[in-house]
Amino acid sequence: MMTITIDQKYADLLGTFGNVQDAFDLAIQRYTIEQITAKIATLRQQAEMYAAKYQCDYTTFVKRMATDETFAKKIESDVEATWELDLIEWEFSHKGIEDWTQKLQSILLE
Amino acid sequence: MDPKIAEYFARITEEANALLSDVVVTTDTTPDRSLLRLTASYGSCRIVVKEIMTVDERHYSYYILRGSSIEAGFDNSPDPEAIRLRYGRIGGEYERSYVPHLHTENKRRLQLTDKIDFFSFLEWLTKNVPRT
Repeated sequence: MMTITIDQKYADLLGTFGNVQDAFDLAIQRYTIEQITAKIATLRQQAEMYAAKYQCDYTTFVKRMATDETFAKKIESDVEATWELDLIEWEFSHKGIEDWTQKLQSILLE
Repeated sequence: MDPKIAEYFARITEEANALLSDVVVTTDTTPDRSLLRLTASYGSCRIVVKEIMTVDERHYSYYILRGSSIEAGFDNSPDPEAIRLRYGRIGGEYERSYVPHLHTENKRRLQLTDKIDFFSFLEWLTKNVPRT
């Protein structure tokens, strides 16, 4: 448990609504959910950008690049010669959505 | 960010600033992984680095670009040519295989490598690419 300081005026105001600790916990939870939701939205936008560029989803792309040399050659010649750089970003956004979604679920289920 | 990953990223930034110019580094993080993006100049070459780290995995792409040409690129992406070189064939069982390799001559040549880090990449860069 971490101890933090809050402005007295907020402590006084929150006190008028009931227990200060309960109100503060709820405020922190709401803020955290808002931040995670914004993060997921940004990552989803990035993942969708790569899906549009490569005309498939992340999982399909990784599978086809590793198993279909014709597809890989076509990507390198027609879409992006340095697709490996995009793949790092795409992996981060794809898996990042999963990471944050799991964190969100754990907060909501508390 | 995991403290060990934060330390590794800080060392990358420090080394890049010592050897490269126009260095720009950004990072992003989730509860389980961290991403580093670095761009820089090395003579007339552009250096583009992207690296994802988790506690037990590291995926990287270290590229040296000259104009629109790829001077060299180290990565461990699931590249079919690298998978074929490593395992003798490609197929679904290798789709999650991150095989470290090096592209040269604008990707006309590919050779397998050991898994490298940014510091080995910098060493290779300064030994093999003239700063012109």
